[in-house]
Amino acid sequence: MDPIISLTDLTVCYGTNRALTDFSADLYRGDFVALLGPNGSGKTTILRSIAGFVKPTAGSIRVFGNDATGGIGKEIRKNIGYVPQAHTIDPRAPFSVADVVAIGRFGAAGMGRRLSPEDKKLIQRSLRDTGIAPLADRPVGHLSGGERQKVQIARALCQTPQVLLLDEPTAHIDVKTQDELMDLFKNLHDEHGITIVLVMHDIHNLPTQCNRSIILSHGRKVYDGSARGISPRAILSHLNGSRSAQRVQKTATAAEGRRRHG
Amino acid sequence: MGELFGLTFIQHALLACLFGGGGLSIIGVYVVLMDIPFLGISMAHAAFLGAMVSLLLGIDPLVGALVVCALSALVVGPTAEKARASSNVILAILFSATMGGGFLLMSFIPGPKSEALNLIWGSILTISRGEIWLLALLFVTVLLLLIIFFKELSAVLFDREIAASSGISDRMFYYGIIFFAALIISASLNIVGGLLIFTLLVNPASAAYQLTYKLKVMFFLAASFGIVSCLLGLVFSYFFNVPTGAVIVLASSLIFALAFVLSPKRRLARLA
Repeated sequence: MDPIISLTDLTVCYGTNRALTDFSADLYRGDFVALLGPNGSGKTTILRSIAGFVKPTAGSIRVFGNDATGGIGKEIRKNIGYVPQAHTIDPRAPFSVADVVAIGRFGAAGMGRRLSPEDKKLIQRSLRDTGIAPLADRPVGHLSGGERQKVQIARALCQTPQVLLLDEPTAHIDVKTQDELMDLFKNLHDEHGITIVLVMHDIHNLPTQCNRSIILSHGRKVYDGSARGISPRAILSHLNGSRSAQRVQKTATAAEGRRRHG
Repeated sequence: MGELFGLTFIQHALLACLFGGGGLSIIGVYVVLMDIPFLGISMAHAAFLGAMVSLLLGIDPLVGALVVCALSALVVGPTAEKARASSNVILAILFSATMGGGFLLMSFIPGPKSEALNLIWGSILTISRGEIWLLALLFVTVLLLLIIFFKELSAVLFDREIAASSGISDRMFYYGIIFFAALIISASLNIVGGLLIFTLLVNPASAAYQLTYKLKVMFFLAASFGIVSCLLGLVFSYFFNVPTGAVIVLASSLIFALAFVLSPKRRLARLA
């Protein structure tokens, strides 16, 4: 099976700061990948590189078989739903929940064209699937953090993407809403067949559907393998520096081999 | 009052209020929602510098204002795009430098400097038929583009990155906004002048922002407030014999103050 996203020897520098070093990974259709690591380890940089918002200093990116190293085209971008880290929105902002979710259909509708009835149906379906249909007319700045995340997920979802990139969607959200979001991701993966790349901090809350974990430390990959191939305690130990990177990588290599051949 | 509106220069001024006040306020919605007020100031002062260059060279000030303002857009656009704190510092230095340059060039203009002073403080009553046509053309163009590309523009105004992730050419729309901002600022220089034009960009849009959660309504209110500010300035200055530009600015500030005080959003935002 050919990878739908292929990152090869990716290095990203912001000025003199090296955020990512020689990162390589192939992502396959149906994957549910968790990118794990402490702050500043390069997780978000990987996600933003795939989404086309970061141009790599070195290395290459291929998305759906197309070279995307210098940025991705509009047509490819429509197939990638991107949910950035939650940020505050001015409570007075003149945008309703439905306005924001509808943005997901704007690219597909075509420049200068009105949304079709089919687009409007997809917007309604996304609102329902994410459980925010009752909030459709509320100003988006009035929502809680969890509700705002659902709005962004609904917006990405109504793009009908093949890949969903989620950047710490459960950060700063209460436990109940975290569970709701995790159930939503499982549903999107199982029912809609969407490939999911999830940046996470909370390793104890990895969804059961997650079939692969990539652990990063200081911009380098230190583990890439089955999500069940390494325990949360082992991840924590590694990230705390009490276990050698070599040992974790050895586990990663074995798990990756099993995954590819099994 | 009927006699007042029968005068040709007053009719020109009324049309300038409609097209200039409306156009600037529509562009102001972009400036306010994209949080790039310094960009507006920088381009307004660049237009003033360009007008001074034109006066020195003996050509139409509008030509110099358009050229220098458009050139400044090429500098301030990418600078503001970085959206870093330092970019505001760069823009602040740029706008003060262009203002300094404008005043320096003004000192070299031989003879009476009434035309140059009009460009500082505005002179809506001396606006020419050609300027009215240009303002009308720009206003209609900006309005049509807003109607045709409303969904793309609304996405860019909400969040450029989210707009881009949906497949919208956010950069094209961003630079389009800056380009038209440069054109309208330059063409409107005579209404309130280079020093005060910035307030007509920001005040009506900021007042509208206080009153509605709907973007379409915000555009409509901003344009209305801009036009009303200009009309109030025109009428008051005629009856009380005071500078029109200054009264326009004060009227727009008063509208903002009223909108801020009466804003239903302040109470709702506290409850949210």
